Amino acid sequence: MNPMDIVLGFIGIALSVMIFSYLLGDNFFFRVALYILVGVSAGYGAAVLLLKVIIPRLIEPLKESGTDAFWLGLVPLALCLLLALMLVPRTVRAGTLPLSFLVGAAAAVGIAGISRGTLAPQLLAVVNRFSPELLLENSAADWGGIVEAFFILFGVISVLFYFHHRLSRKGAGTQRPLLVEGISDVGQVFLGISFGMLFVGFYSAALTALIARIVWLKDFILALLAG
Amino acid sequence: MIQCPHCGKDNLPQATRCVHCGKDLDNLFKIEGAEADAGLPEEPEISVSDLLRTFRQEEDSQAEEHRPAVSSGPSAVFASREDTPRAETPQEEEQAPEWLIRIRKRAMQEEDAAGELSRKFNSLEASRSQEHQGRVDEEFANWIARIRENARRENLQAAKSAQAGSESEGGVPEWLRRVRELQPEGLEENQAVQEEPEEPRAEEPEQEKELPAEAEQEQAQEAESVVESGPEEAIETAEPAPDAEGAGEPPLSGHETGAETPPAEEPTESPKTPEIKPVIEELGLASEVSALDLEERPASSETLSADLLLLRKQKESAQILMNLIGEEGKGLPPAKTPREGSRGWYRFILGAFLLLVLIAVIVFVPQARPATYENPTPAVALKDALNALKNGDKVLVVQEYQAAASAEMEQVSAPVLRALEERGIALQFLTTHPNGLWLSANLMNAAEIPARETAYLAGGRLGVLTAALLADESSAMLPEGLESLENYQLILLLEDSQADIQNWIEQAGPWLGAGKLGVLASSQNAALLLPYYDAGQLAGYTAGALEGRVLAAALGQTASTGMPLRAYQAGLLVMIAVLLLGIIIKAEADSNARHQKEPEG
Repeated sequence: MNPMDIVLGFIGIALSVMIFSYLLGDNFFFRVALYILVGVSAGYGAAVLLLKVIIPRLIEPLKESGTDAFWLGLVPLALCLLLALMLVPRTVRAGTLPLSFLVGAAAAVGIAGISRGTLAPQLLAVVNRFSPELLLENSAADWGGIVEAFFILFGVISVLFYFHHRLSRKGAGTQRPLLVEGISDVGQVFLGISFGMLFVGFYSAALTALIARIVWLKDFILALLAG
Repeated sequence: MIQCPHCGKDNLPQATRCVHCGKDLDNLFKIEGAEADAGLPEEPEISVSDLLRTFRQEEDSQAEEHRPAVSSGPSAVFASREDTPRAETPQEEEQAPEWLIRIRKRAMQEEDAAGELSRKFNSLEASRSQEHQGRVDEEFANWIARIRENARRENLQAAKSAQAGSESEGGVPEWLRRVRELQPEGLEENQAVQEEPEEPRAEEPEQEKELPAEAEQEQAQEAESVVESGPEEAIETAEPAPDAEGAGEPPLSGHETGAETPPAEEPTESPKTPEIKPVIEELGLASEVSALDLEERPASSETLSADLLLLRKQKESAQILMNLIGEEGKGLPPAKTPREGSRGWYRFILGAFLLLVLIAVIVFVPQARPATYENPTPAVALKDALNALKNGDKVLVVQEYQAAASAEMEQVSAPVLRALEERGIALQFLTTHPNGLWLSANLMNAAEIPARETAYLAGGRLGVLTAALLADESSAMLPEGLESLENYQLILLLEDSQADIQNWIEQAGPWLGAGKLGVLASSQNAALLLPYYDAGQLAGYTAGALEGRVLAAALGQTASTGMPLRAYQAGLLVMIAVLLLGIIIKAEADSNARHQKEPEG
């Protein structure tokens, strides 16, 4: 191991121990490690944005005066200047134009993407489950497919019932019919299974990262001992 | 009917005010048949004092002449005049109005008709009235006094209502005006005493006269000091001492009269008051604080008027203000953070236990042979999509995971990238996270493939949509080296974030067509990816290190040994045990809580 690897290895061990100290509660060492992480990430991100975005996309086109890129580059330049005016308390309102443009564009794109990329395809997938081509296997009923299709449909409906029932209960506080209550409870079960699966996924990812870190520590110590 | 002198219209004879113009008609009130005497001089108005004097004169004359009185009251004036017609001169008789002459004549006729019986009755009535004369006079005097007192109070009330809304008039606080209303004479005298305590008393009235109008504020402040020095003193000085009153001298203050009350100069305020007092005076709340002191004296509660006790709200406001001023500059109290108590130790014990288990397994337990798992359908689909690629096809590798997930993601991704590189497939790296630039370099190193530049796509969701829509490769909107997304046979997403996966599926997926997106994800995203795969929006995916191992084996690659499976299984077992333990403890706690509530119910 070269000296730099050893130094970096010890720094890594120290930071790992500082993060593990959170087991004792929120403390100074944990916060220091956290601030280092945030600061380094922000600084690195700013440098990347400067080199990969601002200079090639904003500064370089402005050097070519008279070209289309030059005229197009004036638009983001003006928006950037308006955004920079937010640093002065008197001209804070000037920044609302670029901000509103960004927020509006992002919201519009997000809504369009959700409806086109998630909502419609998912609904079509549920409906297509009942396609005769899928439910028939060698001109015989594929009972497994049929049950699965109904199960998925029932899950979707019950989860929708649960959310609708929850909202209406908040609003009016009226007692719903027993059937609706039952379907809503089934929807709650579906949601519980989904959240349980998400929890397992998160825990599994965290456990993998923790094991990888312990393995790295073990390898580093063994390498040190081996000289 | 009478005519209004102002508008000339008719009004009823008994009207005192014109119904048309609203002006006063009192001067036109006339007795019927007396119009002819309008030009004669009017009778002088009889005041109350004249009336009383008339009563007393009548009593004296009755006592001297032993004559029976006709009646008492205002009619006695006329009766006495009527009974002594001989005393009137002929000129007076001529000047008397005609209606009065008629009345006199009528009375004479009735007296004659009544005869002896009437005279006896009148004498009996006179003797009766003589017995109760003293009581009637006393009642009358009390009545007059009450009327005067009511009128005075009404005037004061009207003055106060006119000043409503303003806290003080001429710098005189409202509470001081109330005190003055209740004890006007004594307080004024007390002010004089406080003002010039060593001056001779003879000069006091002159000094009071010499006080200018703008000195009212000063008087108010001095009165405050009087009240602060003790309400007992204020009350005592307001009520003149009997000796002094008898001697006709102005009343003396408490300490001057030798009373046992403490001297006015003696400080009675708390030590904090001098510090707060300038601030309170600056804020104009001196009156409230004075009222507060006034009420806080227990001995004064009996002697003080109820009006002063109405200042309770002001007292509370002043108390709040004093508390705020007292707390000023001390900083906010520490936020009430929930004390972790034993829960922090539980967390430490569980965390330490998990760490110890993992360390023990990693260090002491030998590596297990990788079991032969059967890959799930999405992973098989992804393997088929990868195997369908030919030499020279372009694959865009989108690296979007964070450093924390790099260990898992590298185990999943490295064998796949190595397999594609070996088959001559052109790989191009892209990232939308700044961290992806150096993480992709690490990935290339872990996959043992030649390093290449990673393009950075700025803009997040908007950037992805732009890249999907732009077909012009020379566009400045796309990063250098990146082709149109349609040119890639497969876009392989290396993701650990649900949001990033959805960005690509929602923004780029609809424009790229089915089967162009494949995902290598961390295990936490497995639940999210399945519906998209079922909907046909993904060519396939692999989530987690375990599936990654199976996929690597299917691609003919050796799985990375970065993560010991035994440790992973031990970690899962620990978590299952902790969850079960938590469920049992929670159920036990709920059961205990129910048992404790039942006896109360």
